Amino acid sequence: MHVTRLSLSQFRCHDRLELALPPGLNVFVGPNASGKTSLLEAVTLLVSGRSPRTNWLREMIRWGADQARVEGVFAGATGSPDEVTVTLTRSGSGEAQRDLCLNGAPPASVGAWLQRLPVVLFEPDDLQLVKAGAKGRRRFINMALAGLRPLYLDDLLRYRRAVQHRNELLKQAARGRASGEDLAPWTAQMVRAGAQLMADREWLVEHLGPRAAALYADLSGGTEALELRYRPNVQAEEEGLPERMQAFYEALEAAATWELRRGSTQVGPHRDELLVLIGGKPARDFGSQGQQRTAALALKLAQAQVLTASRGEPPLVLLDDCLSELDGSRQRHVLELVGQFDQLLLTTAGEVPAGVEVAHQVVLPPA
Amino acid sequence: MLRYPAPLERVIEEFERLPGIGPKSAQRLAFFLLSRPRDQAQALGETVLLLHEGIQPCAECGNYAAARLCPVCADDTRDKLVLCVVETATDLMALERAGEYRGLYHVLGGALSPLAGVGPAELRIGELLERVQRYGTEEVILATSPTVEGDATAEFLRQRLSATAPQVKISRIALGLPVGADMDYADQVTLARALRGRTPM
Repeated sequence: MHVTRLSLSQFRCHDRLELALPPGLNVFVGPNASGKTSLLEAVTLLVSGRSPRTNWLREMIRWGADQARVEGVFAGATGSPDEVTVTLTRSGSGEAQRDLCLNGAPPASVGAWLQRLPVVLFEPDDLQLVKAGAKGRRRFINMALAGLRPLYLDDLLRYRRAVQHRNELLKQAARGRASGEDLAPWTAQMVRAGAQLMADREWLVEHLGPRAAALYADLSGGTEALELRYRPNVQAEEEGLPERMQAFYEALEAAATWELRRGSTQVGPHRDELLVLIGGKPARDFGSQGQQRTAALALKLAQAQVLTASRGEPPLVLLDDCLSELDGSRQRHVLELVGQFDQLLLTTAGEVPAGVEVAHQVVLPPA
Repeated sequence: MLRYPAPLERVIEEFERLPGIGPKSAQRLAFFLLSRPRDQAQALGETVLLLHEGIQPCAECGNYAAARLCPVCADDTRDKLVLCVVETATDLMALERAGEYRGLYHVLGGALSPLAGVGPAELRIGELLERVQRYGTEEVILATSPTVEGDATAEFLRQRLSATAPQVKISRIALGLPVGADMDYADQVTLARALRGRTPM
């Protein structure tokens, strides 16, 4: 998939900007604070309704303006192009209102939206995927699966909602105001959605693992191997859905006293871990900064490959200033690897390594 | 700031408190009424005044009724051995419009939601169990909405019913594809759910 036209109005530091973008490598060059990253942010907003930089939509509206508007035209391998518009309108002192529009009408659901336009964003912060806690890796898995399976996001939201209701009842139960009978239906909802999440995550890591390992070997040229291992918080002997549900119920049973004392759900996929191992050791604790960075890159590239395989067409790839830490030959190599995809949008404050073919360059003036 | 005369302001404010009506719609509605003959506003006012006078919950199922029983419960051609449980009276009306169902209903008055402070005591669950006993109900269809809350409510009712009336057949309304819509155009989540909830042939 690629974006052929991008237009911004009152978005971040941009007053008005119209870009026509060809397939292949598009480079956005400019000094710091010239709004390069905002262009990638605008594309992310168009395909997901969210920003990778902030949880506040209102921050994307230009200072002093009441409304920001982003429009994009996305062309896939088949079918007619999709026209997407997102309008953000300031409302009082609270969060801005977001209006999504896909080919002239609001999309049926956010799930359908995320499914439609696959994008993979590489950013400097990706390092935290390997370096920081399990939360970031769960988020990565969630985003990857939301782009692959229509029901994943639905299951995830149902799971979270059931956990919230259940936690409320656990707090009430601790004060003697709720019984096991009150808890049971919420536990059932949580277990059913949770088992499905575990099955989907297992599937993803099965397909992500070998690809990430091959990419890591290629990028590092080293002898130590990368390995991904899905470590569900609830371990089941077998992989079927009924077995996972059974194991989940047993784990809850074992944690019952503890749950009542803490007033919250103590076991389940909200505590899953994705282990990233280099040479058999957790990269988080034992990897060098360089190894961690390469591992994060391999994870993201593998995600893009799985998306390509399962959808039959490559995602749009966004690279936000994430090559600067790599040496020239490594940079070239990464660009070759992502060159297999349809279109790349790359921001840089510096130079594109020599020998890399650039389809289009946009130079942004200083702010 | 210039304000409208007080009677107009008050009407706008009242409209604004209605669901789905924002400040602009409220203003438009108020001006519309003002522009029409006096009779129309009079008629609207009187109908609204009588709303609560004329309506009461059906003594059996909890549906809106103009008499002691709602039209469904008063209809003696209905199959009294089947009971369909819905969250609200509007859900009941939606099912009635489908015209397929010939049994009775039971309106719960919402769905369980610990976060919103709705527990079993806030819903008409005791009445449901009592009716099942009294009618000798053979089948209960759980038609709460397919949300987490609706599903948990159905699950809760299933447990209660199988404990108090083990002979009753319990079923859950199916999730499916919109009829007439091409598979091609069905939204992905609906299609995926229908596939997951497939039934053996």
